[in-house]
Amino acid sequence: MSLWLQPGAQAQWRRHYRHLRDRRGATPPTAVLLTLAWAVAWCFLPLESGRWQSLLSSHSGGFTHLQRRRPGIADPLRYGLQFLWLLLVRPRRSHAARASRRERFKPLARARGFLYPRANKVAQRVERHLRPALSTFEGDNPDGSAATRNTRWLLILMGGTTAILMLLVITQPFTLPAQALFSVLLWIIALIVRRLPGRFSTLILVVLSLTVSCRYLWWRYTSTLNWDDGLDMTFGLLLLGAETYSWLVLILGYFQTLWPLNRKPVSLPEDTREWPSVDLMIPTYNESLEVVRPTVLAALGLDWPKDKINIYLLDDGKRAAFRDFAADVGVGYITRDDNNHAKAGNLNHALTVTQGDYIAIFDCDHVPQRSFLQMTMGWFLKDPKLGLIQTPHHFFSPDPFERNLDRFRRMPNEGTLFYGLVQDGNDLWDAAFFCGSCAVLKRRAIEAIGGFAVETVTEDAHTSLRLHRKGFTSAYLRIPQAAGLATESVSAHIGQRIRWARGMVQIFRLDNPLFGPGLRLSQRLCYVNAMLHFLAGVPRLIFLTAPLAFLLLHAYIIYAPAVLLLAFVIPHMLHSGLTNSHIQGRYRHSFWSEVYDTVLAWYIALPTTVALINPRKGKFNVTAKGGLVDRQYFDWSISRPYLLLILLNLSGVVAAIWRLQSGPADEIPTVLVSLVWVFYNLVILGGAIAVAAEARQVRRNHRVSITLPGAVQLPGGYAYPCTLQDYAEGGLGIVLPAAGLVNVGDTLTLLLQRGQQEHAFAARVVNASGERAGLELEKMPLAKHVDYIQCTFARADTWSLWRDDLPADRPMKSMIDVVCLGFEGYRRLFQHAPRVVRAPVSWLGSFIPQRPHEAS
Amino acid sequence: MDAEKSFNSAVQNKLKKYDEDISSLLENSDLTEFDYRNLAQLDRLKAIGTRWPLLAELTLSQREPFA
Amino acid sequence: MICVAVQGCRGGTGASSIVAGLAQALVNAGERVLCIDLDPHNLLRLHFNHDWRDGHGWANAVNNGQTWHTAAFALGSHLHFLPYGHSDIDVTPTNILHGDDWRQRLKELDEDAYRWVLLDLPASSCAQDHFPADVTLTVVHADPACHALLAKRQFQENDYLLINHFAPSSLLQNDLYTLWQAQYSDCLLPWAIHQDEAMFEALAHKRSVTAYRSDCLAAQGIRNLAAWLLARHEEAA
Repeated sequence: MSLWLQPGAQAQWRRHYRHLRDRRGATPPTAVLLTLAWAVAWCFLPLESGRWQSLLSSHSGGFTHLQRRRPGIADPLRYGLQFLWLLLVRPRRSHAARASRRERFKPLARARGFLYPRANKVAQRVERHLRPALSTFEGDNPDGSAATRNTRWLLILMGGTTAILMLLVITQPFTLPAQALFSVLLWIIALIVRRLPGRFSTLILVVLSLTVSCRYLWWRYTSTLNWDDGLDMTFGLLLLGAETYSWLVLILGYFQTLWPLNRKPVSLPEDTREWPSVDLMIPTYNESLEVVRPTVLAALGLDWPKDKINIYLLDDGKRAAFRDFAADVGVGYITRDDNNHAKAGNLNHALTVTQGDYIAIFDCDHVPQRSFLQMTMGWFLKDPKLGLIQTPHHFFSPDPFERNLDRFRRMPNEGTLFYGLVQDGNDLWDAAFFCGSCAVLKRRAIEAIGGFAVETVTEDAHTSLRLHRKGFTSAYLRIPQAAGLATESVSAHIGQRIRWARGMVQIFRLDNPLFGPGLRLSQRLCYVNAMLHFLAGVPRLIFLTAPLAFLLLHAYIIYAPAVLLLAFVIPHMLHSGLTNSHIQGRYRHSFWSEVYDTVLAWYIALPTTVALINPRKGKFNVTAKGGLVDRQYFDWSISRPYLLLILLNLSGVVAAIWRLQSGPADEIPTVLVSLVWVFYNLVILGGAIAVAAEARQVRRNHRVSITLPGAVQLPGGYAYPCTLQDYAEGGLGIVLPAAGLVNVGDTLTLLLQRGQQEHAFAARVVNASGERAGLELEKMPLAKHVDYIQCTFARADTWSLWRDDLPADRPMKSMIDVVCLGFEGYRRLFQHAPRVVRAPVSWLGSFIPQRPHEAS
Repeated sequence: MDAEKSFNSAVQNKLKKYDEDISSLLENSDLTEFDYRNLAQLDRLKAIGTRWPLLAELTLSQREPFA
Repeated sequence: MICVAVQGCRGGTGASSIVAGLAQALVNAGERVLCIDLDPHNLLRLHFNHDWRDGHGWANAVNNGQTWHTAAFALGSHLHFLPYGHSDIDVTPTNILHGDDWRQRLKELDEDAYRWVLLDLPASSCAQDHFPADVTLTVVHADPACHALLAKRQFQENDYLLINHFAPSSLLQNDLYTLWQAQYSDCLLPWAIHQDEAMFEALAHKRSVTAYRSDCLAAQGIRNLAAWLLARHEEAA
């Protein structure tokens, strides 16, 4: 070798080889081959020149991703491909540069800048004219005053007129251009109206959406069914059934949420001796004492006269530790001989051994704020017919969606829609129902209906249905007054929803709210909608597979030209999306319902169908809480049905490509529409899959993050202010004003303020890094412990503060979010796939050239 | 001047946070009319009166917070 | 010009430390401040790194027939302070604290020279009449002695109570605090200055606590006080 090589070059070869072997971990044959390849390249290219060097440099060059991976035999090919790619593409720009480009040319943005102010001006002018008329509607006084009654009559009158006109509009057949023009006009009206403030605009949007959707459904029923072909007919009817279901839920949903009541609490009498007595019941079955303890201690701190409140721990688990704990803290402890009828039975038994006028019920993991009773009880004294007042279930730990998708407190969670809007809407119709916890019921009312309902697995909704039938009213107070643990895993979440779904369908069969005595029409509709909601499983599965009927089986499920279908279905989707975003935007972001529903669809489809057929089957299953997902994993068993659906949809894509290539030309629009539908399904299924990748949970005690001022006193007598960042039952995290103030193992006194009072707690530093420190509380006497809960979990303002900082709904952004989520799902699926699948795919993937970032 | 103003408002906000949690709840929920009874505080005052004879004696000779 | 008088409810409540800290906190907020030590113990100056042996002050200036403000010292451009002064012959004329004299004297000052004049008054004695100031802060400890002294006191419109050296771990202190919140709700400031070693160390370093450890809890309490004063007089202005 030394014969025909310069000694310098020889040394370079050796250096390159050693670098590959030692630094990058290449095997000897690979290193030899690559060194040779490098040498060949070197012969033809001036690799030592400055420009090549900068291109190859590992910081900003275009080959960074290749230089990071372990060298392989095929590397020359990779470098070659990447080189060609670099010749073709421009480097990716930094964020700032991209933003400035966007400023420069964007006809869309400019058009928007032109149109929006004008639309706003129109909206403002309309509003100015309507304002005097509007203001008469918009007082929301919940009592049955003359004004409200007039408003209601006016509403009914208006509704009647619109209904007649709408009937005309809905049934009028249009040609394609006419339908398109009609849709565009309505859409423009909607876009202008939605900028009007207040409820009137919501009303108009609802009417527009109803018009368009009813028209769509009418058209579907009258002119899209092929009665001649059995296959077409079967699939077509299935799809039409599912669409009818969605339409019904849409309409009932509008009805339910049109006018949220937003009830305010009523003050109690001056003299506390007139306040009623309350039994606070905490049913428990198998939850750990750590979960129950904060609830009981918080109950002890409720601001209610001590002689008028009794706290009972209803232990169906009959555990000695619980009995001792109850005795220690001085609360009642109730057990029974059997465990019949689970929670409802437990409560019914407790009713027989207690005497309070009212019964407050808390699930054992729902920690009440000290203001709970004062905020709720006023209504009972004001309205003697009131049987129930319900407050939201608020969760301080992330639910599985929030945790696995990393969305905790970044957008409204799954429950926000129900507790923020639906219950408040129900309340207007006097149909707010009992949710099992964080509620107060009147004993006399419960006794009048013969105790808590035991026939179904959702005793809560059934109990309130019976209360309503007996003529009692219900109330909903939207201010969170308690907070608890969310279910900790997707499977537990699904289990809980299966129970709810089964229970609601059981009620639907056994005590159908549409029939039977004592209910007003509005109440019937609200209850029916709540139950229908849980029947969403089968229709959702139909939507997820419907396009396959055409792509795979060539069944014309919608017997109409694709363009005409688009002219009908797009307005339907746009209007319902816009209207729902307008009504629900603060409580649920657009498109997320699809993800939530899809995750549940498969699992509730069967139990609800079974319960529809045989409502007496099925038993109560307890929702597991307070557990710990201690490692990251992919819940394969949960996601199996979705993998199947994904495979089906993928085969639909293949079939679509085949049909595009070899099918008749006149089918191409239909194929394309189906393909879009399949892709939409794939995105939503991707989102559902993403949820199944369980993120790891770090601590057993769920830490609640918060920003609260506090202070610490250190052993030497020094004291510093600090900010409380998170807290749990046994420990807290704080931020000190400077680093190095505390060391691990130090004992200190933590000062927390609640109200005008300051409490000192002994604590030990368990970890410290920079300005942050983690504290563990020392053992403390009962009174101190109650104080601690009062300073943290039971603070009256904590949960009401939480709702403020959520971003508003932006439908387009939300759609992009969901699409990204879909892709994320496939990425996670791939990450957790078995090696056999993953290795060849990632090897193939390594050849894909990557777009470099522009050097900053 | 601006810096000074922001200093004021920053510290004021901090002071507000030290305030009663109930008042912040009522403010957030737009319930300025609501008559909340700080029973815990009243209970405490009663306990203080029985715990420290001097305090009770002095206070009773003036106004009556233990009432 | 806003005149703030700070007075201990009894001796040893740490009023001087609060005056020094408050002056520094106000200066940090961009205010111009004059501190005047009206306490014959003449200790306030030590918080401003003043020489122990330097006996200059307004009292001996007045005694020697000079104008009262000749003995003022500057600490930066925004903070001036005037020690009480001491001489070898121990003369403390009783009329020297007479409020009306001081009203007269402060009038001599240029209205725009200072926004705040902080007066460190000697601990209150029963005989003393009310000192003319825009705000009078009475510094108390949450202890039974102060409680007893307060019981005899009449509060006027601009009188406020400020708790110093507050230790929340003490049951008695906490109870007194709660009691006072109920009893003196109009004049008790809604926060306390906590017990904090840094408060004493600051004097040992001849500095105000705000300058010595601005991040400690006592300094935070004093900052709250400064912010409260600023807010109170922003509204007035």
